[in-house]
Amino acid sequence: CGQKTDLEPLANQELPPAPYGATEQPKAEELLEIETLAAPQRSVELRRRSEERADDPFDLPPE
Amino acid sequence: CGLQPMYAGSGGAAVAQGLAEVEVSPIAGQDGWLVRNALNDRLRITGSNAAPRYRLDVMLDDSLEGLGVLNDDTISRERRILRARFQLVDIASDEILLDSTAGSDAGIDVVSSEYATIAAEQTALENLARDVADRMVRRISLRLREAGQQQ
Amino acid sequence: QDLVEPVATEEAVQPGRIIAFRADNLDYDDEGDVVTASGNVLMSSEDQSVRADEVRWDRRSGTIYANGNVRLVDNGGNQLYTESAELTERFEAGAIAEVLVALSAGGRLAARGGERSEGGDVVLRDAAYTACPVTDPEGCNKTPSWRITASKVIFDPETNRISFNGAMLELFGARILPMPGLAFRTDGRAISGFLVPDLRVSESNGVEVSGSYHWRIADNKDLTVGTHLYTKATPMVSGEWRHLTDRGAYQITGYATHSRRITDFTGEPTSERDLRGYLAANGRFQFTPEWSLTSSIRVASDRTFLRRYDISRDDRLRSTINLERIDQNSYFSLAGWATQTLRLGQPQGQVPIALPVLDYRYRVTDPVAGGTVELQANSLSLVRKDGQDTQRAFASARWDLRRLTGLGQVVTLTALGRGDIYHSDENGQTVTESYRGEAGWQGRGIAVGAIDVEWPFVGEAFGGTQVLKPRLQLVASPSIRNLEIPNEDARAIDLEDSNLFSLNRFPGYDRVEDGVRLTYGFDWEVQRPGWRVKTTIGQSYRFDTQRQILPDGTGLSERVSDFVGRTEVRYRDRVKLTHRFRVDKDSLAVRRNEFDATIGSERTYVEVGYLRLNRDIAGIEDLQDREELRAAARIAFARYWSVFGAGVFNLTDKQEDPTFTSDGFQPIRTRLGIAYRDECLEFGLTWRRDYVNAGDAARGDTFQLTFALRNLGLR
Repeated sequence: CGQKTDLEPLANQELPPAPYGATEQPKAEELLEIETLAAPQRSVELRRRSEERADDPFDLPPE
Repeated sequence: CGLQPMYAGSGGAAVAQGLAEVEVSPIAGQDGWLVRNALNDRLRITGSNAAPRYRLDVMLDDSLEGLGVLNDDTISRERRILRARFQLVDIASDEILLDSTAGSDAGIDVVSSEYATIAAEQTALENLARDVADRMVRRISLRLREAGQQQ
Repeated sequence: QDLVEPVATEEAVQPGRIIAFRADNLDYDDEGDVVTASGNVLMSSEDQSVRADEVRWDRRSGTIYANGNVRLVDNGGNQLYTESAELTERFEAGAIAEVLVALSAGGRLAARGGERSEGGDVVLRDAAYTACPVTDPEGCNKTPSWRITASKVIFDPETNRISFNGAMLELFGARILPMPGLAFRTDGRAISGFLVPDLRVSESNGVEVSGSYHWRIADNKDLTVGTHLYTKATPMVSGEWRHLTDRGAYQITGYATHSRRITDFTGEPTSERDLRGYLAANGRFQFTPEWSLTSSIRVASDRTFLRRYDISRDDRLRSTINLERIDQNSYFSLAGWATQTLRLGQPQGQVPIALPVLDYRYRVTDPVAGGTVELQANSLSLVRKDGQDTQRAFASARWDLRRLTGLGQVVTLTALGRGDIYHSDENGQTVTESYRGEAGWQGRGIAVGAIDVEWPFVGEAFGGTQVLKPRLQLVASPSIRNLEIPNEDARAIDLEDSNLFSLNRFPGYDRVEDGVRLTYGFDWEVQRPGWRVKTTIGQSYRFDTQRQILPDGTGLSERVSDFVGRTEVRYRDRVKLTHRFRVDKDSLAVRRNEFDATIGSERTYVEVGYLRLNRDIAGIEDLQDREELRAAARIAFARYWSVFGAGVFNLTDKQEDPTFTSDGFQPIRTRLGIAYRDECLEFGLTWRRDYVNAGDAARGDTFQLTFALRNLGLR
């Protein structure tokens, strides 16, 4: 069976420079991410499949 | 009922002074540029440019949700959500004083002209950048006040 | 047995290859040139090691016989456990019996017997592989949920690739699926090959089986080609190309089929069949830390293709390209926007293309009169195939001074000056009267002054800290030419807590509130361990009415605005409530009510989203009323199982929106599902029911089976 994973730079190839304000160079997965305004997420449903509520690094519970 | 001004009185002036010593590191993207400017505006309220004593590292998450679906399964309303994960670090000791999140959202009517919707989404981001910056500066002020009381 | 100091010696075997040797006792037989060691023997060399109870190393023949709890660790970190093994001096195992291999990337291989071939591969016979833990947290044995049994398994440590001969998938002990030619890599790197097929049953297309082949051309390029076979539609091909260069990455996805389409308006199937498809390309290039180019292009051949084949339910496809330069003090963006509408009723000719949209902002570094200055230059050109065209350019300067008073009040003085030039033609074609503006060249000057006072108080409350912040803002500006100017970007106007204190409550730039107004409100927040409650409410008073540019119902048109506010309640990660509201100033009727709640634990929870817009805005085709409920609930039971339900319900009734026929409760889409998920296996069945017909995406039921062996290459 095949296995599809993220792209990686070739041996002699570098990742693009880190954008102003970012600490590391962007990886392929980040570069292929679509901008927020370019394709607004039009899915109206709260959940599409039975999944656990992952803990969200951008929404910490009050400690 | 025990309320006193945040930035006046015994501890208050020290909190305001502490805010002026927070240096905001650059944040990526256009939303980062807007949030960083909003933060700098809200931190520099004492007029004195003091040497930085704390560093504020911020990461942003900006998303746009569709809701208000009509009968022909088209959406009529959107909500832009801007959330920040931020850490206040004491530059001298490199100790993390605060690791918290702040976020808010704004509603956008999806109008017939697509460009008007895009412009409204952009304005929502600018309003949210100010709102999230307010929430972060309040959280930092409370933490600096706590630190002030412990001494 | 007395405590013997472990003996350590360094034995040079080949040039440069030293085997470190440690054992409880060690003796050396000169004539036979044999070293025997016993008691916790550990031999290590480079990053390989062998541990055994007893070792006999025949130096002459160069073979090592290890016996008793033998553990061999190779340089890939894979561990091999057996009772007895014959090793070469490079620690390569010859014949082994009853072996267990624990792979560094997770997963275990057990086999009756095996040996290492010359090529260095480990060949195992009658083997079984599983990625599931074989002991539960308490440590007692647990039968793995799934395992793959095979007559022969070859593990190649160099490429970290395992290939099976005669593989059979066993699920909870039942042999259910032969997997011929199964092979995968344990280090999670990509392999070219067929991906797991997808099975789906839907109303529009009947049974759908889709399979795809993934070709990893190089580390930075790959291509995935797929075919989708349907019982009630002609087959479809799809392809995805991804490429990473040293300046950025881009990907192109395409779908194409040749099928019959239902006409957009009548809903009747047309006789002719034509080529239908969809293309989506996006990428981002970071040339320097400041300069970047991002783009996303999405085009469909017709309005219902995406929904018919359930690729996406979007009703508008945006395409954009954006060249940006960002540094500490300046932001520059040169962008273009185009949209393909998939709404059945909207003519594409009316949809604007915005090209170019230039926006440049610069923050003057050293303060001017103690305050910060931000300059902005912006230009926009909006073209409609058969509709109004508008061009705009403006330059603005904004000065802000924020200071603290002795009493702890934060006072902000603001002054804004802006000069606009507009040009528009074919204004008559715009449907809504107030958006048109005057054709030809128009210009205007804008000046706004504001003073904003926030006075935060803090104190103890409920065992935590509370903050009360009253806020007062006075904004004044001379009268501004608004209706003569075309309104292209200030149409989605609705007063809410996020724009109550903005200098201009209109979105975009084409409309600016003028006159003098006073805005006041307060914000109260309390935090105690585990709890956070925050509420904010506000209103604004205008010294003259603004009826012309602000339609009734937006909460802003009368002298006194509606009340707007927001309440948030948060208890740990168990309860999260957010309520946003706009209440009519006279009748206290709720004009806008948005309520979101998430209650429950990570595994068992309920989520609700409610939206009600009751604004009665007349004469504008945009800001219609709406009422909707979205809900989702999940109940986890028996440790790995869960059932879940979700739905979207349109509650708009005739009274709110005359164009609606529904009686106030119209489900749009519901889902029910059951799923199993443990550390290494995940499968589930979801039933989705669509109640709405959209073009040729028919209503009805869709069943989807998902199956995935986790932490293994199969998805």
